Amino acid sequence: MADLFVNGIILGSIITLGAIGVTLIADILNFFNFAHGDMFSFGAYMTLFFLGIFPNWGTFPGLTFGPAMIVAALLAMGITAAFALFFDRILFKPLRERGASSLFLALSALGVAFIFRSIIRLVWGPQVQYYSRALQMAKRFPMGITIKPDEFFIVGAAFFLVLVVYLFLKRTKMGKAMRAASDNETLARVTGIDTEKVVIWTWIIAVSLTAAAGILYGIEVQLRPIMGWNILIPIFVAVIVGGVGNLWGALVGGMIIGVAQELLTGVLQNMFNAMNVDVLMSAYKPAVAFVLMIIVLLVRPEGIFGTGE
Amino acid sequence: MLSYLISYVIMASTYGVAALALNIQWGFTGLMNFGIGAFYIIGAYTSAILTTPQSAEYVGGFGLPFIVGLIGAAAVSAFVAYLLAFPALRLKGGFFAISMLVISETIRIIVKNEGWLTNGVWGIRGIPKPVRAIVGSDISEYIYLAIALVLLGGVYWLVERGVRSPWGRVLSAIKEDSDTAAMSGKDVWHYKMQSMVFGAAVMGVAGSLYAHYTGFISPESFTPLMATFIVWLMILLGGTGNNKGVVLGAFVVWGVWIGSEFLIDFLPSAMVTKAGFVRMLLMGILLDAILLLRPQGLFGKEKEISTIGD
Amino acid sequence: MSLLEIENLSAGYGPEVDVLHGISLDLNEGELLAVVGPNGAGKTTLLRTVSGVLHPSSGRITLKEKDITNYGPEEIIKMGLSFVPQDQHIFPSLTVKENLEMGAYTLKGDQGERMEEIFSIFPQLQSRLGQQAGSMSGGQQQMVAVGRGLMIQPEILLLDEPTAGLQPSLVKMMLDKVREINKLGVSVLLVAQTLEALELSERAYLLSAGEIVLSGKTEELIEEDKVQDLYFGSSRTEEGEGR
Repeated sequence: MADLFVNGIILGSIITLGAIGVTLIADILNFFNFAHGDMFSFGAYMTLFFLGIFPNWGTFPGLTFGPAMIVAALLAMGITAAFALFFDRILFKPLRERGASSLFLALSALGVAFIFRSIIRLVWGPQVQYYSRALQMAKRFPMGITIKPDEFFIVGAAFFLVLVVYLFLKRTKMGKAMRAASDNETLARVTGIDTEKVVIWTWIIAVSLTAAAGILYGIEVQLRPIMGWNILIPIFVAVIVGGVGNLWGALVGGMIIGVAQELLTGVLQNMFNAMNVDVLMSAYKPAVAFVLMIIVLLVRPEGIFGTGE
Repeated sequence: MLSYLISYVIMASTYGVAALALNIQWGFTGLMNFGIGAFYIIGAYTSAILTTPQSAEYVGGFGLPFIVGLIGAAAVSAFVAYLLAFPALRLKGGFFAISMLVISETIRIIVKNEGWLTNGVWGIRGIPKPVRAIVGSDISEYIYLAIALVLLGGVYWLVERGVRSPWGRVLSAIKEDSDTAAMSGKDVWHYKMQSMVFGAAVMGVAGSLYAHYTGFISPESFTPLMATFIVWLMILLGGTGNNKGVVLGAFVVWGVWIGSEFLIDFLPSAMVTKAGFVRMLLMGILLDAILLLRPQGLFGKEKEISTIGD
Repeated sequence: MSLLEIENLSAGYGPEVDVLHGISLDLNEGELLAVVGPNGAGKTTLLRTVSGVLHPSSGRITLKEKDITNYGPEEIIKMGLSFVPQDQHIFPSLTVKENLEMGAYTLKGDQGERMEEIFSIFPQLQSRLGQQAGSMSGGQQQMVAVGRGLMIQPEILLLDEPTAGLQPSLVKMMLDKVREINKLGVSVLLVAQTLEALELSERAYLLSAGEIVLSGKTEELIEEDKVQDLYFGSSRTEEGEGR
């Protein structure tokens, strides 16, 4: 049980990074970014590309990767964000200016998702890929918990990124402007805030985070073209559970969904095994997330931290 | 050549029925269903389970005739939609869209994993075409073409009747402005539910048509691209809210799909698998291009309600 | 030449749905000008159009001899015109300090000095710098809103009913502050809801159903029936178009 909980934390921190981006975009750009999952994948695959062309700079002690990964990841995050800005410029911005509803924007994002996914498939093919074939020995902890050294890095990196974003939003002028725009866009314009710049920074932060999440997932599990689409559902659910537009909500929501998926499917699996019922619960993780979402929407639709504005 | 043409018309008609289904839900009622593929899958598998002969690998073997499969597909899809309407329709716009997407993916997961029901990834083989045993496979192909066209025509007529009726006008009012419609005393939820159930039933028919044509279905036949996204593309191209338009949209998009398959055949074999994804890329670009350049599609109203749905 | 000149301005919220019809108005340097009128007359629409939030359908707005008719709010504030709306006038999830900082967004550098000046007008804000604006009382939020508007040291301040929703004890305080701000050299265009607010001004305009119905010196305007009706009921006019 405790091990499932820890696994939930690890996956939860990855989901959180995606959820922060989705909630920012939903708040400031007013739509659910259905392309977020495929941007997650794209970040992971761009990193694979860069790792392929960098020379071997060795690995960090105990981890399966080295400085090359950090450089590759940063480049990949940047490029993925650049692509997102490109799509904003040619697609989302014109639609926004035309007054398109959030549903229309979501539908157009779905198109962008397929564009990213097909590019990934065309360039890298369908096979499963790994950043590193090195096997890691998990360290043993009490209560049956096992954690691989990479996993410490993953959770650490996720929280580090969350901290960086938090400080950005809390301490920098642009960060405050973003929060102001999210509170009241008209008033933000009245105070002279350049809302176009706010839009650009929103994309940069949101997409860099999701690309990073994809990379961390690639380190933890593997790379597959469908990886991002599969994680889109837990991300959306995390955002809704935490409260759309609320960053604490994204953080808490991500962790809750991560833990709930692992714990519930694990517990149910044991139960079904004991009953001799043949069910593969791990395949149903999105369903678990979905049930949680429905419960939250029926009981407290604004989410845990939502204010129902 | 002729067989390609027959194949094209049958599949385009099948998707035409699917496009009409989505048109009911989104075009006429404003329900942005990103998971309409769920009912396509349910319809296909229901029909398959009802009509295939006995098998040790999955439940089924009822060996019932095609017509039972067709009706069963519509009924089961409608029933599932009815159940889902209770939680899902209480949700607004974006939340509804996400929920339907998740439901659709969940159903695909169930189909993939519950082999006792669906034979999992191995799929269901030998789904019969009607009268094939009697007249042999060539003629049954022509008969199937006729069946597909008749069904398309029949569904089209039914949907047109529905949309021009008082019931349809309420749906239209709901799409324009849910709040105003509610204030005029109409029970908005019930109308949405009816629209969803009707649309699901039609989608189930499309699924059944597909299953009996191809004779073999598996979870891979129903990816989000082929079961949901391509239908959205069809109605957007044709013009949402216009029944003739969306059927034409289905024929055009499927034509592009088949046409590109032709071109792919000329490519060196190494590129053939990739070509499928070039098509996916084109579909995505086409969807966004339509939204950007001509959101009302080929035949939709000029005043394209791009602000509807919130 | 007046500081702010509005000529024949028409504006509204949709195509062919104008709320303002051919408004002409001017604000001179150093003036405290009031705009009064019944609910729905278009007073808020007027301020929103001048500040650039709304685009006019016809007419012209000139600020410091520059045509700003189609400028957006981001450009207009850089020219020294600051707008404090009536509601939705603060950033609720930001602190008082952050609200004020956003007021000075278009300026560079540290705004500590400027904030000190704001505190001299609204001393109550100084002790609440770290408090979230959304958790404050109506009166305190109003002070934050006006303080925010002053951060760029505007030449013109557009104030939309700054005393709306305030307790009577705070109304007088706020109006004193408005007078104080004007005395510091800021030209003020005040949408006045109460008689006391109107009396702050030397000149005023009466706006009704989107048109300027009366204008002139405040002390004369107050005597007019139509203006009396606004504050004392419509029992005294024959054509009771007031409230």
